Amino acid sequence: MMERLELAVKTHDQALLEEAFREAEQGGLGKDPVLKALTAGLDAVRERLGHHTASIPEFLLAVDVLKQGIRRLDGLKSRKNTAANQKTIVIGVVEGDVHDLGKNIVADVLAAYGYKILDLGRDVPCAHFIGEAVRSHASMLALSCMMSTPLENMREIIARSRKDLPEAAVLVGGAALDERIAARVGADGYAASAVTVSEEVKRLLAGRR
Amino acid sequence: MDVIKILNALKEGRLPPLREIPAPLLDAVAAMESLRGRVSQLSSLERVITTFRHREPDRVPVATLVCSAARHIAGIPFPEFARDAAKAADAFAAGFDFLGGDLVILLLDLSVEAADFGQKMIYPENSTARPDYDDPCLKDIEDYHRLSPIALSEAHRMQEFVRLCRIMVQRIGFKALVGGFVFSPLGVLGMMRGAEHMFKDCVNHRKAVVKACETITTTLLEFVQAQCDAGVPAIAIDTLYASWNGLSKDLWEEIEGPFVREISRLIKRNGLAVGVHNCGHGPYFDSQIKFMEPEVISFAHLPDDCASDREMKERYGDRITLLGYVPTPLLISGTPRAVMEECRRQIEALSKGGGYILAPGCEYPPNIPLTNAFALIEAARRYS
Repeated sequence: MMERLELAVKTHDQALLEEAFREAEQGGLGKDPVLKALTAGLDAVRERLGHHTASIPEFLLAVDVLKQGIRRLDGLKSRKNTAANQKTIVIGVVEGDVHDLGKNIVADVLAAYGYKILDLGRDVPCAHFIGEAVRSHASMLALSCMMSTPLENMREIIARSRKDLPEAAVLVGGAALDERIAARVGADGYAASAVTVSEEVKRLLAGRR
Repeated sequence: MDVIKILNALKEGRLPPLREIPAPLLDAVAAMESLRGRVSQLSSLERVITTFRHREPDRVPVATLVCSAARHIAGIPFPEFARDAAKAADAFAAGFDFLGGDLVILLLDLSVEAADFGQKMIYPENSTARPDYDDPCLKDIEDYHRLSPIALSEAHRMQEFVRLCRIMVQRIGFKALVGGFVFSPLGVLGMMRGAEHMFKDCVNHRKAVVKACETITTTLLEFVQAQCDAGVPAIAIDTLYASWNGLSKDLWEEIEGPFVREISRLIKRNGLAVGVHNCGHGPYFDSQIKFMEPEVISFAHLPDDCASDREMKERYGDRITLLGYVPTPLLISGTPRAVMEECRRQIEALSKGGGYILAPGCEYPPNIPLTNAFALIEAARRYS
């Protein structure tokens, strides 16, 4: 059954997912092993994406099946109170930019890996970013920027976050950036793509609240 | 060889369609220019033709790909650049006069075609024109079936672009090669549907996507023909999704390959050179060559089947002219010295035997200083 859940995500097969969930519910299976199987499926697709043996469309469809699975999880028992352990990541495309495909994929991936995601969308002003991050006691701000023009806005958000939310890590990504620019704008980390983002987040949040 | 076409072009003071000139004659001219280039300076057109024929000119040609960034030189607001051919021409001409370079590629933005299909547009004061992503033209699969071709006579933005081509061909004349531009059918579709939805539709609703591409291509063919008639000697087809940033190779070949082949063939029937622009990661050079047989590929990253510049040059260097590939982040935040160093590295790796044009990997960013565009020009002068 776990293999079928994993396969459903790997092959973006919604019908198989539903079938496997019915069996899981009948079998009294808990949330945690089911979530583990689902994320294993996404891990497999993510790895294939990194090796370019899976494509962006396949990855998006796998994420959709995973999200569907996560929505179905409410019907299953949970052994531990995962909500209390969840770290909050506030994510958005900085003001002046509206390209959000990459940000959407990253948000879905991080939600799948158990983070609480507060997605502010695109063209997000600095004040709104910081306000939401403070309000939600965010552990991380994840800023996306595809164009060069809004890089100054990104820099501003990072500078403000150091004052208002000094404990939070800052992760950046997007076509306008590379590791060097990420360091120059003051970020703690850089995510080149959805393939590497979960490891980078884990690294940055290790030891933080 | 259409002698009338060649003579008419020369009479009008512009470069004739290169494919109208027999290849052996072009090769002979290139060989001569390559020799001459060792002792004297070539003109931009001589330099470009020589490199297209895989001979080494006096120095590596440069395409600065300064498009909307040039509006700063002429003081033209972004919305006017996007919508008024005369203003856009002033910007492009100012960029060429100010910076130099050997090619002028006419790129306004990637929404010209989609706007005329009815996609609602936003024209920001300080940024590239773009679709209103909150109001896509194609909201569901059924909308694909409702799409129908647009006549060029009803396509305002495409008409303005053709007018831009005409103006620039006359203004630039023999000073440089002026290239037209068209976004591929999937690219246009993505602007109307949203890339994320379109990607999923390519897998789940393939027939509908293919039908939509067919509809869009009908219009693109008319658009491209008009650019040919406007006198540009080359047209670039932007096939972003033929890369790791888009579809798998097989899926791209199945869905978009036949349509871009049709567009490429039309360009060639008019005697023009075909360029491909693909700034995605891991572009599928092999597939794009298979379907479009371009003279030149403009790129930002190594192709999917090459691990190094050397491998790329060995595998593709004698089949196409490589145009690229100074990274955008470097242009944004690198010093001119760092940019020139990267240019030097690329020139050393890619210029041997001709078939190479130094350029950014994509359009020069529209809102950064032009200093690093000058660095490109200086690097070509100094290191080749």
